[in-house]
Amino acid sequence: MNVNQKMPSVKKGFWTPRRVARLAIVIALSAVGGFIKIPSPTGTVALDSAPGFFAAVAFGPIDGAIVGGVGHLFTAATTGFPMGLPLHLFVALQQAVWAILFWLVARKVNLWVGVIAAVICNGVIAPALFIPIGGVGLFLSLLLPLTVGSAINIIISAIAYKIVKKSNMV
Amino acid sequence: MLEYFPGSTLIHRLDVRPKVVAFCILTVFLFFFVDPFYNLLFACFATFLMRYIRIPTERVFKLLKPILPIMVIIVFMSGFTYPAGSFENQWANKVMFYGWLGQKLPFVMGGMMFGITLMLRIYSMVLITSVLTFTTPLDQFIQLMRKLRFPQPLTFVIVTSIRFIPTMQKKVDQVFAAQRARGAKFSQNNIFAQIYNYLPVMVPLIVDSLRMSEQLAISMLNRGYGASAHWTALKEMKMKRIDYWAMVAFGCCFAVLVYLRWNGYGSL
Amino acid sequence: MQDQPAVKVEQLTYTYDKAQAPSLDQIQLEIRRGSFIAVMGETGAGKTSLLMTLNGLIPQFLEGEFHGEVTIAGYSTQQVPVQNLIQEIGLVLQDPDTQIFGLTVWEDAAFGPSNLGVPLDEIHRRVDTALERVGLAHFHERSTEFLSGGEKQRLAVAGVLAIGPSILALDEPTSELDPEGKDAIFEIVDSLKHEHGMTIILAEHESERVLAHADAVVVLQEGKIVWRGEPQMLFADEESVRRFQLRPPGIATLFWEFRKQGIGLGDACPRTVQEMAARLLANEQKEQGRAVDREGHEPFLAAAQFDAAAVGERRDEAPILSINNLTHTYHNGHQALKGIDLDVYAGDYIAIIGQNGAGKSTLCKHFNRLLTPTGGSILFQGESIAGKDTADLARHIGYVFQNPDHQIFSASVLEEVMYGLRIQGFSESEQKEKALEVLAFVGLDAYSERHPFSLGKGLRQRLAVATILALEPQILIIDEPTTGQDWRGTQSMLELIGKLHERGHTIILITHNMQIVTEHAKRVLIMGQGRILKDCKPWHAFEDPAILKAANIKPTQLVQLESELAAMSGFVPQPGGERALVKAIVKGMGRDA
Ligand SMILES: Nc1ncnc2c1ncn2[C@@H]1O[C@H](COP(=O)(O)OP(=O)(O)OP(=O)(O)O)[C@@H](O)[C@H]1O
Ligand SMILES: Nc1ncnc2c1ncn2[C@@H]1O[C@H](COP(=O)(O)OP(=O)(O)OP(=O)(O)O)[C@@H](O)[C@H]1O
Ligand SMILES: [Mg+2]
Ligand SMILES: [Mg+2]
Repeated sequence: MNVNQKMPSVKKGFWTPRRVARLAIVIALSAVGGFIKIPSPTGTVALDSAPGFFAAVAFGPIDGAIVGGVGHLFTAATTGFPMGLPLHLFVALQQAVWAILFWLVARKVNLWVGVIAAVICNGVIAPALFIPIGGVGLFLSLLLPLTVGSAINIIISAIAYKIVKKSNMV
Repeated sequence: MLEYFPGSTLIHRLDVRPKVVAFCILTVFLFFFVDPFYNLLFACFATFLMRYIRIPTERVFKLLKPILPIMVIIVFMSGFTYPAGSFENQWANKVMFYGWLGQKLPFVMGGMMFGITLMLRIYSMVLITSVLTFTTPLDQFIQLMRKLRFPQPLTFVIVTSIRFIPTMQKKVDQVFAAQRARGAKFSQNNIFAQIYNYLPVMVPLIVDSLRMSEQLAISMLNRGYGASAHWTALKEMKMKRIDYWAMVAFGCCFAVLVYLRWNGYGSL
Repeated sequence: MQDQPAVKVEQLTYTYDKAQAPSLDQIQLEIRRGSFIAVMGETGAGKTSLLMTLNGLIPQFLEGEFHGEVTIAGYSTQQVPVQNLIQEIGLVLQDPDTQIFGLTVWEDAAFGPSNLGVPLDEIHRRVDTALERVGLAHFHERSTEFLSGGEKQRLAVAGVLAIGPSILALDEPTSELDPEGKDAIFEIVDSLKHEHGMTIILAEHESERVLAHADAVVVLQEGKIVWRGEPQMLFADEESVRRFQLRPPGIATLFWEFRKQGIGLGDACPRTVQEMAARLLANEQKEQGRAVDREGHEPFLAAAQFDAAAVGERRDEAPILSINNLTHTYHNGHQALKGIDLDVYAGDYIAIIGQNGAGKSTLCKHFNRLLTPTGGSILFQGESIAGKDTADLARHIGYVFQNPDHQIFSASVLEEVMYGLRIQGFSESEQKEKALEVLAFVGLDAYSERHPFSLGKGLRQRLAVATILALEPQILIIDEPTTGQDWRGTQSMLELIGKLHERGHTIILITHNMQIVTEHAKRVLIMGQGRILKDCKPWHAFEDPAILKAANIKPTQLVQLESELAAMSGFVPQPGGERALVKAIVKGMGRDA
């Protein structure tokens, strides 16, 4: 047994065991969130990105980015990458960026301003970024479902954050 | 999580590395070539691969059905989007018809062609992705992340979250059952009502996740997580001769296609 | 190092980061190598905290105020990192789900040694040995997702054993298992101690098994060690057992009862039923020839509790719930129910028992249509519930789940109860009025403004009952409400259920606790492999050994003692609790004399 190792090895650096465990579980939650289908006027909405946005406000930008990005890849994988892997990698990258943005505005300005900013990014800017790949057609067919879907996810994550915060768990 | 169809075709037997390289090359070229003819070739090739690995046809249809309407919209909208005169070739600038009275909203040939390219791109990407995932066990992707020197904790996070998907799925079922048993309803069409309906599901799930993650962190330490930088890899991937040959072959294809594109083939 | 004690704790006081009072208070403890120590005590006494100090998780991972010294095999937990201490002391926690990392059994057991950089062939050797020791020898390639609860728990032990510690600490490793699964874990622990010389430290609420297996017991209360010594001495003393809020083992209650009747069976409590029976017979031979009280010769079987007449009477009224040839096959093709016929009558108090996976929860989830039958029919008050919505049935049939945390989401206790009422369309003032009334009934009125997550497990369970109760369902299904709770929590939950039954609710209780069956329920269903094996009065539940075996059930110690005595001396089994049994035995001795 090596007794001489430096002592506080449990809390060093970014990748503490606590953070690693938390990320793993919240990503899994985000993957199953994809199976929670909410009926809405614009088609069903999956609760897949709510955990990512929650992780962003509750734990910080990098956590949120990892959960948002990897979480998206997982949900896409469970349905067999319906748009092809390259597009989903691109979306995963976007989700990571939106999570960071959400954290920034929600924490530095106001939670609800953050919600609005994130909905605009995830609902309008995100499909616009698809124009080079799928033309205006893709943009228009994604605009409404993505706006409604991201609004539901982001608002739920924000309210959940408020409730959980009151219980001193985060 | 990922669906894997066991088989013994050449693609099944290849190592994940040459497969991923081939996947990247194909993806790059899908975006290089703008002429739908070339993309049609790619699409045919992807379809051929799909047949080659012997996936039941219904499975492929199930995969494509949800994106079918999107593909039609893409072609249609693209015809209206690009004005005549924006293409290099004469035939591409032809207006096919007008979408509105008085020669407004021209539907341009080149735009439609470009739309078909876009559609074929998505079609091919979906298929080659499936060829990759259907023939490669999940474990190989994890090994690949290790080989690519992903940060070790990140690989661990991904592996562990895969392991926790069934556990979380069970939690989700339990939470739904518990809420329904106390009279919660989940079937309204009003968005705001829906947000209110699903909070009782999301909040317990998050709270439970936080509790579980604390337990998980403790269990990780109990099992020596992070004890040594020299942890033992339980599995090693080995490239076989066939994998090297495949790499060489893909390299040649890459060179040929780059040469063609360089000389102006495949533009609109 | 061999001569050193395995564990030495000196003047340990520890306060969690945000807590006011210390969770461990001046603990002084020394554990010899090769011994089996049980740590007991009510919920919140500090058992888990104590175990976590042993491998350095406290204070290295959970910060807080730490005073004193803990040494494991001579190494101080304040100087050696957790990751190294685990090579001396392995810790297995309560919930196996958060302790399994691998996708297959082999991968999981190999996780520990691979983290430590053990060479691959050595890992293979260690994992093989570890899996064999816990009885999972041929499970290497099995997916961890589909293991049963007991197998998962054993894998959790194997994962720690593969690291190669000489001390094993286990925190309530059996709380969710059926009796057979519990026995299996204790057998493994016993063999680790006897055959492999390991030191065992076990936190448990299972007094009967602690009494039978442990060499010594340490009792904690409010973070202090209040008792230490041999388990047979602890359980011989009724007053201490009550004071420490421990669940009295069946044989201990008998032992106390005999003592009260003037029959001394020695200073120490017998550790097993066999020992008890042997002592009774020895005592009887000693007492032969002495005059024994023979007063009251009326046949005991006619006692008031045994209302055979009522059974026939009940069948005349219409059942409130009638299940006919119910089958259920899950999506994965597993047939969990194979033809259930059952009539539930208004005012019933039914306990459903049977092994893990018998189909108990699956059956009950059909009553409020959380599950849809794949065959058969269910009538509620004579009307088929097919096509009805769970949310609407909730007003008639309530279902309280095992884990209260799966439904709590509000920011206050009151709001939590009001939620269900709001959905049912009650006005704001009605919601509040009803909610407060229910909270008063379950004894939570003092907490109505508290944040639900800040309550202890027992209170959260109560809150879960309250949320269901608010809708005033005629039938209440309660799924394993006492799992992992201490004696006090179990008692107060049962008291609450008894009160609800008195108020007229029909109770259906799913449980692994056989004491509930004999002491509280009025009717018992034994389930095994998707069938109802037996539907009877509680005192007939344990009569058929074949059924008990099929359902992995172990009778209470009182019943076991009866059959032991019956086998040894031709004693006739008696219905009733320990008092009746003692009386009968005393009488029986008289008859034999
Ligand atoms: N992470 C924590 N932060 C603050 N207080 C804690 C924490 N964990 C436990 N406690 C408190 O420390 C005390 C001892 O808790 P511990 O979990 O050791 O009890 P236990 O005997 O294991 O109980 P149980 O039978 O419920 O498992 C309790 O009062 C508890 O509320
Ligand atoms: N959603 C599901 N999908 C597939 N199989 C299931 C599902 N839920 C339960 N089962 C299986 O059905 C059987 C009966 O399960 P059930 O939960 O009813 O058992 P139980 O008697 O309540 O056990 P326990 O005492 O462990 O709670 C088990 O073999 C279980 O593995
Ligand atoms: Mg505990
Ligand atoms: Mg059950």
